[in-house]
Amino acid sequence: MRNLISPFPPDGNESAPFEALLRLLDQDRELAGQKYESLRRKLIKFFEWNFCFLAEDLADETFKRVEQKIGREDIRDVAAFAWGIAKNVRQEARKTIGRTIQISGLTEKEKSRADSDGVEKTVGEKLQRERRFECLQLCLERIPVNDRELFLAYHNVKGESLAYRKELAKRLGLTLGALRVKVNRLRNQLERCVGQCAAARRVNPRKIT
Amino acid sequence: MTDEAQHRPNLSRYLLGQVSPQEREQIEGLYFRDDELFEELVSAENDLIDRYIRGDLGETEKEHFEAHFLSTPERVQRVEFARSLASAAFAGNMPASTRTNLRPAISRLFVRLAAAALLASLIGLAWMVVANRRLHHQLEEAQQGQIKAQEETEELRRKITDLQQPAGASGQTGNLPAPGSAILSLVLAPDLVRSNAQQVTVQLSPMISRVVLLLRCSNDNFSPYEAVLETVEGSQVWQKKNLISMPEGNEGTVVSVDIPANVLKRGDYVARLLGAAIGQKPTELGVYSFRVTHVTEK
Repeated sequence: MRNLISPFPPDGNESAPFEALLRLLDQDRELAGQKYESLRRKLIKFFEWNFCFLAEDLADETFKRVEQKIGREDIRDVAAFAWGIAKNVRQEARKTIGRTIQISGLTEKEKSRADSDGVEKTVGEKLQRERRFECLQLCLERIPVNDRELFLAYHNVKGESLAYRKELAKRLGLTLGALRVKVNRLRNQLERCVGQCAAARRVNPRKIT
Repeated sequence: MTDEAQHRPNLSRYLLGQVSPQEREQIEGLYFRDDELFEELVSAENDLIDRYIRGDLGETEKEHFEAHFLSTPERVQRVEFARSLASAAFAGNMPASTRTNLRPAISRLFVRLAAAALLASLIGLAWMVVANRRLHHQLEEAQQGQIKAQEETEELRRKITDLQQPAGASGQTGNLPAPGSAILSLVLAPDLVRSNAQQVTVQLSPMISRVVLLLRCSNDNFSPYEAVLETVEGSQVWQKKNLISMPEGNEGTVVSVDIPANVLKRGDYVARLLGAAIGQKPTELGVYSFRVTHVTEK
């Protein structure tokens, strides 16, 4: 993913089209960066919700094709244009998925062979869960106290009660939409953190990240 | 603002892959334009995962969830994250540092606001004390100034009283001008009032530029007044109109007549005081005679 903070682009050949894309999003570079991140997030979710693998790579591919079109086509609405290209990328990705054999497509004999080590699988899953739980604790301690309390308060209720969330938003002086945005981003941040932590612990179980 | 109750069933169906291609196209077009709808979808996805973990999905929903939603490694990881979160939150197994009493941010904000208000009150109180002391000091200074002004007024009154010495009965001469003074003033009673009718003599020196005659008058109902200066032969040498009276202590009034010294040659003079009631001709209220000599004379 491109680093918007660094003044040095990862590849000099890519900088010009990317800059052109940012200018197309907004004349103000900071606002353009925010719009880019927002659009990228939408594209990733678009591919996830269309059951595509490697959604982030597909989102980057979409942006790459949008950049190629800048200057050649009249792009008035970048988001709508990107969505159109994303639909094409989705079609291509689905064709690739179709050529992959799902586990559910295995024969009974092949399935039983894959499932033969049931006890080992259970122990492995248990270890993974414990690892994830420890990582979750670590990642929660990394975020600011206010955000941590907000996140736990939002999820500290059985069932997603709309009335409870509205009350919580009101107590915090937020709209329901603003609360939702904040919690979604915190959850995304924690998921990434836990994923990286868990992956690191698989390599080195003693490593505490 | 989207209608959450209306959109929710469609959002769950979209996430589980249960919508038609047309519905999918419509929803996707909407959330690419509407940030709020997009966040609502993300929230609905999180809720769907949490409900699956808790076992709150119906059979059909659960089948679709496991068949479609868990089709990518990323989503499997998301479900595992939700499982960790659920077990931690509901089992109370969070570490001590995260097991905090949940105080709404607004309560902490209220505490901060109250502390700021208290600090502002203390600062205001200190300012008021300082300002009060400053005002008290200013008041004392003003009072002292007033007392001093009253004393100076009294002193001036005493000086005026000293200057107003009767000169008619004993034939005393008018006050000689103080050294360096340019004005000579004297009080004259009417000739008819003077007991011995002795002449009042005014000695003029070159230093005197004006002579102020304070003509005593028993009646102050004729303001303004008029003064006419004549020689004993009856020749008018000077006149002044629109004169006003002023109180003379507790003994009636005087009319001040300011005469240029160069008008008064050596000789005898008569000053006539005239007054007129409203709509009436002026009448003579008093006659005041005096003699003028110059200090160079013997």
